[in-house]
Amino acid sequence: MKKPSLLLEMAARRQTPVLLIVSLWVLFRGHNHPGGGFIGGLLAAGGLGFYSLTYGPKATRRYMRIDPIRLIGIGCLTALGAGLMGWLGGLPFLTGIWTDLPLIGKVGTPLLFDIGVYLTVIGAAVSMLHAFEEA
Amino acid sequence: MLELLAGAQFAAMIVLLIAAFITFIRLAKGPKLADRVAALDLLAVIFIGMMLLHTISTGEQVYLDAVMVLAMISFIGTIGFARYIIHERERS
Repeated sequence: MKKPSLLLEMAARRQTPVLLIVSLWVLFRGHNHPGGGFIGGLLAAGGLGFYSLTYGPKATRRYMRIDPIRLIGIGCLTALGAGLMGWLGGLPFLTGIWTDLPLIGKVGTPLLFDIGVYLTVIGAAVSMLHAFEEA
Repeated sequence: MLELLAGAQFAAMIVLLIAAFITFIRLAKGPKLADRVAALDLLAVIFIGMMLLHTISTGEQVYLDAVMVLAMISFIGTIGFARYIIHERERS
């Protein structure tokens, strides 16, 4: 692959972490405000896509430290686990269970489900982008 | 004072609408792909301005987040198009 322009290289190195942090913020505020797992995942995939447009798919996989296809499975299993938690407690499948943690606030299985959606969307979008780039 | 602000919003919205219309003409006519890509990038900026005006007139702060995200994301598509144009040029 040809060497990318210096401007693009510098911008990608700074912009991708910013987009990942914004995606996490969108993910965690998603229950009561606009946002949530899907939008957060798309934002993170946008940042990683910018990185892979600049440095190529191989460098992006090294940056992520995990194969994006593997992220799809991990995300689906996380969402399934969030659903099973209520089911194992005798409640209907996907019942939301909330607990109050000190310092953090209310967390529960809907947050876990959102994190699962987030990981799945990142994995799917980034692996599709890489398939396009390597074709 | 409030009337002045409302009038300024109205005028700014009309100016942005005219800008969007002219940009659409360039998007439809654009002799080359690069012109169309530049028009799309400019359209994103114009829509960001429209959303900001809407935020001012309604006071809904939710749109500000959308504006921020759109401003951070919209240039990635332009970079993708630019890479596509370079690829095509190298192939031919």
